[in-house]
Order: sequence, then C-alpha cells, then structure tokens
Amino acid sequence: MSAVCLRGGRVLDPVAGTLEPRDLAFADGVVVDVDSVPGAAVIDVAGGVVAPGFVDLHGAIVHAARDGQAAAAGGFTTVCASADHPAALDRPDAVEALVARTQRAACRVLPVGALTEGLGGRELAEIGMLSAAGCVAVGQGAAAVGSPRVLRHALEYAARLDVTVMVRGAEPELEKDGVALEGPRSIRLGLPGVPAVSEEIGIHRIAALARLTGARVHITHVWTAAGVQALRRVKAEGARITASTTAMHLALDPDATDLSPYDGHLRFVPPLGSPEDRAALADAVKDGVIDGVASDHRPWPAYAKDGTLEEARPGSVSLDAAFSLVLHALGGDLVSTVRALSAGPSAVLDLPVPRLQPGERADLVLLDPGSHTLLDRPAGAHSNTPLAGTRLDGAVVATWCAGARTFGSGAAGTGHSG
Amino acid sequence: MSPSSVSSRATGSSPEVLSRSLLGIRELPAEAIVQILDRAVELRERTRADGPLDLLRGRTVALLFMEPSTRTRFSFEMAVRSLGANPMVFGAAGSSTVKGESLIDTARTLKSVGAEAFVLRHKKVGAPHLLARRLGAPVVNAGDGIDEHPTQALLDALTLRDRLGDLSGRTVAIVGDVRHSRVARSNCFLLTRLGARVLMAGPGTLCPPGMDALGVEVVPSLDHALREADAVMMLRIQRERLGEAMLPSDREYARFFGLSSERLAAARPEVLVMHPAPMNRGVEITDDVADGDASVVFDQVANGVAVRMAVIERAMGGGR
Repeated sequence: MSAVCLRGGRVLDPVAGTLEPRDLAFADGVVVDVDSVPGAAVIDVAGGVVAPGFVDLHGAIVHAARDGQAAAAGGFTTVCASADHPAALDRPDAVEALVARTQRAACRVLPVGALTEGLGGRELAEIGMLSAAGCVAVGQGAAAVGSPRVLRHALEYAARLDVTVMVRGAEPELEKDGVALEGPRSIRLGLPGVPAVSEEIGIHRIAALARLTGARVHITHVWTAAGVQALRRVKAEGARITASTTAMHLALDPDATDLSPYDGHLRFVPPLGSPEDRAALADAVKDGVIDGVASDHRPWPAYAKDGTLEEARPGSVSLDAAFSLVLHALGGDLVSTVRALSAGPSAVLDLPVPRLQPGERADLVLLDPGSHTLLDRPAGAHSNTPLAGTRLDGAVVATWCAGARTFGSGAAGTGHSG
Repeated sequence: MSPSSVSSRATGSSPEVLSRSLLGIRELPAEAIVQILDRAVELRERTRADGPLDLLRGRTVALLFMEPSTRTRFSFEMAVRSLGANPMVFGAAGSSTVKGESLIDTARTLKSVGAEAFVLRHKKVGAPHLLARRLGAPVVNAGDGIDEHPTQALLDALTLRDRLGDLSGRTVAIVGDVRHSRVARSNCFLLTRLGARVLMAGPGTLCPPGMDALGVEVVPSLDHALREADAVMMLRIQRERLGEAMLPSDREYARFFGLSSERLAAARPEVLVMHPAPMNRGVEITDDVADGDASVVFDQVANGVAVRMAVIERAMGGGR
C-alpha cells in the first residue's frame, strides 16, 4: 500500500470550525492515523491549509476530461452534474451514459436528473428511473417550475421516493425577457429587468409546498436579499429545506469588470444582483441560512456568448474560480468558505460530512489563502468567463480525489495560474 | 477580487476613436452636449444660407438600420448628404443579431470598402456599445431597444433651446410610456444634465415609481405635470406593442393621459407641446393640439437634420 503524509500544514475541520496545525495521512484512498503509516511518502505542505475536497451542488460536466480537470484545479472532488446543461438530463439512458463517460474523470461525478420532462415544467420526468440510474437528486437547473400544481405533484412524487429536489425560487411570469435585476441600475441602463419579488414569491411557494408534501427540497441559485429574507423566515418556521447560491451570484459585481454592461459574458440566469444582494448572500452563507455555494459551471462555445446581454446564453465557467470568489465574498473567512464548499453541500446531498478523520474517503484539497489565482484569458471555445485576466486572492495548490492526485504539484507557498 | 490591469477586449479601438462615438446621453458630459447643439445651430444656419455643404466631401458614412425606421433613417441620410458625404445604407430588419456573422461582419465589410463611421439602429439594448468596441470605429446610436435614442434627445434640446434659451431651471414634462421609451430615457439624461427639472406622468404600468432612478420626479397625473411645465413631451402609445395587461384601452388612455386643448388650457400660456412622431392622433394627442400654436413637432423634425449633421461630423473627426 502506498501511503502519503501531508506534513507541516494546518488542517481545517469545517464542522468544528477549527484550523489546527497537524499532519494528515492517507492510504488506499482513505484518511488514516499518521502514526499507522510510518513509511509514508512525505509531502511538505508548510504554509498551506489542508481541507476536505469541495463538493459542487451543480456544475455542468460536458466533456468529462476537460470539465473534470477544471473541477480538480478548483479543488473540487465531487461535482453534481447539472440537470440542465448542455441539455435536459431527463432520460435514464442518458444518466447511465454520463456515469459511464465520467468514470475516469478527475473528480467524482454525481448526476442530477431532470425533475420535469425536458425541464418544461409540465410533465414529470421518470424520477424513479433517473434515481435508479445513479442520480443523486432531481432538479430543474436554472429553469423554474411555473405551475404550482405541477410543482406540488413533482414534490409529492419525489417525496415518496425520498429523492432530493433541487429547484430555483422563481415566478417565471415575472422573469419573462428580463436580463438584469430590476432596479435603478436596470432603469439607467435600459435593460429589461427581473424584480427581486420573483424569488421571494418562489421561495414562499416552494416552502409551502414542501410542508404540504413532506418533500426534501433544496433551493438553488439564491440571488437576492429579498430571497435571503424569505429563506430566513421559512427556515425559522421549520421548513425542511436547504439552500445554495452560486459563486458568481455571491461574488461578481457586473460593474467591476472591464466589460461593457451589455456584454453577453455578464448574462446569468437568474441575473446578477446588487451590492446589497451580495452582502445579504454573504451574511447568509456565513451564518448557515444558505447551506452551500455551487459553481454553476457552464461552458459554452464562443458563439453562444458573442452578442448583447439579451442574445447571449446564460452562465460562465466557474469551477476554477469558485474558491477564490467565495473567499473574496466572505471577506477572507476561510472556515466559512470551506464549509460552504464542502460540509454544507455534503449535508444537503445526504453524503458523509467530511471532517478529515481516519476512515473517511481521502478527498482533499491543499489551499494557499495567501497566494492568488490568475484566471486565464479565454483562448478558445468553452472558456467563457467575465473574469478573464482577473487576479483573485487565494489559490488551490493541489487536489486529491480518493487519495489520487488530480491537480497540482503538492508544494505549498506557490500560487498557480489557470 | 481585484480586476487589475486588465486590458479591454476591444480590438483596435483607440480611446480617441471611441470618444467620437455617440452611444448614449448617459455618459455624455454637459460640455459635449452644448458643443453639439452649438455646432448644430451653425450648420443649420450655413445650410439654410448655402444649401448642402462640402465639409466631408468624398467620405462615407454607413447607416445600419437593423430595425424598421423611415423617419430617422431619412433624417440621418439627409444629414450625411448635407455634409457632402456619401451615405451607405444597409437595412435588414429581419436578420438582426449582434452575434455571429450578421452585424459585426456586415459592419467590417462596410468598413473595408471605405465607411469611416457607423450609424446603428438595433432592437437589442447595448448593440451599438458592443459594435463600437469590436469594430474600432465611431458608432452613432440611432436607437437601441428601450435603452437610448441620443440624437432624438439632442434635437429635442435644440428645439427647446431655440424657444426657451438656457434650459437650466426650466421644467419639462414627459408623458406616456416612459418605461419602454428610449426617447424618454435619453431626454431624462440630457435635460437633467443641463439643469432642467423633469416631471414624468403616465399610467402606473408605463410610468412606475422606480423611474425616479433617472433623476426625475414621477407625478400622479397629466394635470400635475402640465401645471408647472415649460414644455410637455407626449410619447407615442402603441397598445398593440405593449405586453399583456399593460393598458386597458386607447380611450381610457386618452381620457387620463391624452393631451387635449381643454387640458392644455390649464397649463402655462407659453407652454410648448412636443412629440417625437409619428403621432397617434386621438390617443396621446388631439388634432387641434398637434396642429395648434403650442406645437413644435415639425420644428423638431427639421432640427433633427442639423443635430445629426453635428453628430456625424464629430464622429468623423470634424470637417471644416
């Protein structure tokens, strides 16, 4: 057996909220007691922080090799493949095919199946068969379910199967044609707006139907202060729901990039919020009302982002930037950042919550919060990001998935580019 | 996150070239507005006296109208000819996307056969901004979606200045569908920048309280707006183009927000009545008001050519 010992770093336990200097060893893909492997190969990680590998609640895995590598570079060891990108994952054979082609990816891939057929929000998808084929949950991606009747039935159906349902809080009738948060900025820029009450109404509706049906519901893409407030209220009332935002909604200020405000790279669904929205999201991530932060990674060919905000397809690549974006948004709070990217999402998905104790799967990331990440300029297809060329604080130095190195050289104290 | 030392993704656009564009009034300083208006007056005098000028003789301006327009296109075409330049007109209302090959490649094609400046009307908000960045040539916005229509605001300002002099301290009312009006948006930016007070009135669906983000006051009725206004701009209502449940009927609109001579009687005696045309007579404005003494609608149209001459000359780097 080949054992590895990460020596001289600090180990972050996201559940206890501790960051303590100690060595950490693993062998055969499992964390072990350091003393049990005296002959382990030693990697000096002085100055670095060893943390549980990140778990992405939803990110698109279009090309297993490329997107898996992006995940590893971002510190992710598990990615829940989005239900809606590049197409609706609504057939069991498609799920099986995805599982098969991601077997050798640089991260564990857990598919999220579609909740409704074609994500159309009208007919139920084959939730039972999708689940049997390997889906960890079912959801709607960024699409919302407009009909309260359909949402009720979908939740009733999923509840009986004990399948987690991921859905965005939204009232589609209020979002039609909107590409920016409705408010002073959208009015000044002449952009069709989406009012924040869309999310507020959506979250209240989901919470009420979750109570009625007993379904386990995870609300994705939380993006407004009004949504956070609704979430606080329904959680305080005991709703059986969890919630997440995305790295871009949490951290990206559309007015802080070098792009025109009309550039297609700034197109997201839901749209990016205001500084007040981002502040409310950050508070909610820190105090746990928002359980996790997803990457919502969405690679597109260049032509899909070429054009105005109204024409471009929504989303950006983000697996590589997620850690730095969350760290930035949380004001450098490393423990909360790691919790939102690992323990929080694991609990949402009912996976074992990682604490880096012996016996756990050796999904690990080595971080250097004092370094920085320089995001590459898009070189070609599928590298769509509004942050090209941007320098972000904090870097992922190395990643191990089930004990196998998936990214990095292992040397601490040096940032990486890319 | 520190977006540090990131160069623009624009290709080959020097700041000097970009600064000759007129993408909107939003970013235009007051001095630039006044300069354009002053130059428009000079050009108007000279064309009145001498006919077409030859300031830009032998040079070419492309007019890209990717959304149906006759009045604005004719006005720009006339402006280009009055400067002695050649208009190269391209209209394709059907296939109007910014992305892919359509718009940007079309503009590049026209650029490579000699067009030096581009006038663009497009239904997508921000299309001129992206074209200017990608093309590396001056772009004049002739209307982009619900965003801006800067030359309309400039010609309105010229018309107001002709009658009222300095606009600082004056009150202008804008009435109707301000929510979906690029004319209203550009006028709000311009009038407030020159120190005028802007009142807005319209149905709650078309003139919501949030419009005060434009630095204007939303007032509850047409009568409120008329009471204090030195000028009133009536916007065109096109009920068939509004979304569902925005307006009950034309007659209900006319009853509450249509400008009739009875209503006008309550305004200040010297009030000016403006409309960007085409007018829906009997809906937002009655015949007698449209053709009455207070109306300056046709002065606006005439001033459009002078203002567009000044804007095109500026885009081309001056003439003289």
